[in-house]
Amino acid sequence: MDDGALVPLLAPMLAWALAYCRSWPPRATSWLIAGICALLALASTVTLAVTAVSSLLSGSVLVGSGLAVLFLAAVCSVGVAGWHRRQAWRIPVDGLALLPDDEPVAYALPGGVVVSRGMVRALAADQRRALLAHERAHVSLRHHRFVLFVDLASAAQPLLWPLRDAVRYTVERWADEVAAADTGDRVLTARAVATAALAARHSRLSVASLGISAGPVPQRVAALLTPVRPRYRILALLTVVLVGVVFVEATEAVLDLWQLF
Amino acid sequence: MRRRSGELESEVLAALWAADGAMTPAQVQAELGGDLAYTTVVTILSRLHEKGAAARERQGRAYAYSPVQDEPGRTAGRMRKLLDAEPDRRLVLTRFVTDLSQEDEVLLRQLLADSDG
Repeated sequence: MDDGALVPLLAPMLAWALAYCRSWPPRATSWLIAGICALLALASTVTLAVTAVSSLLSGSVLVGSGLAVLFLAAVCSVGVAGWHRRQAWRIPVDGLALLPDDEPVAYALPGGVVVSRGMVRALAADQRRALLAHERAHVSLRHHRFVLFVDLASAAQPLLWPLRDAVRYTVERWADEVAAADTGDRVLTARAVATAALAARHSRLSVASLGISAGPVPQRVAALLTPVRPRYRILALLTVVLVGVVFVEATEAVLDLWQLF
Repeated sequence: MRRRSGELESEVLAALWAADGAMTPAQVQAELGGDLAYTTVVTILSRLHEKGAAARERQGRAYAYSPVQDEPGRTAGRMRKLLDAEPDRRLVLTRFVTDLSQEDEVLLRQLLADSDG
């Protein structure tokens, strides 16, 4: 197996840097994470297939069949992950559905928003407006697709696993920013997020969870309470470098195979 | 601030669900803030009634509205049960807030207190 093939297979480790870019502009970062995940997963899967074939052709049956098994595992795992999501998303919710449930929950599905009675009661009227604007943003901006792409990509390439939480965080931040723009009030939106989280916590005191560092919710609230400072330059640079390296190496792997024939 | 009609409908529905009893249009208007016209509130409430999302009864000169568990809500409830059985429901849903740790709670309370100023 040619060393160049290792690059598309290991490049996802470079992408781990993205998991730490929580203060970046959420819209651009969501696109970047989803795009890079799709590209890297595709590159590593194609590389697996190509090197499997070239190993088999050049006579190393053991390596070749090992790689072929990895390739099939990647394809199957994507299929299973996709089917799983489809099951959960098939239930139609249109617009806003209210649950007669006292546990404060709110979430977005591809077609609409689900909010429980416990959640609307935990918030003041203006905070409810921020909540609804946030959830509507998930639906209208199709955030479930970003999450889906990253999940499918990490099913194909397990090294992308850390980016699943990263993209979930960035789409939440993105929706927070839309809600802040919609209501015209960042502090109001921050308070809505914080109040909802605290209400949800106190409805389930038995589930005492321990954490070492600050979880996603305080980070989101803190971000809303701080003015935005775009850092597009590092973002653009990282994208160009990552995409460039992967593209060159994947092309090289394909050319190597080509020369075998 | 300008709000679209679908958004207003959601806000009115959420207000009905947050209330303890039936609400008159005037009460809904007071709850949602002064920039809404009374007639707009009445229109939205009667639209919700037509859709079967709200029940109404006469209360003096106006109707009082209360929320009704409608079809979308029942669907969502069924889905909730389905998802409770799902091991990775945290991954399927885009939830408004995720679970908090002890430290998160302290931090959040601090942030809230700071934003008061």
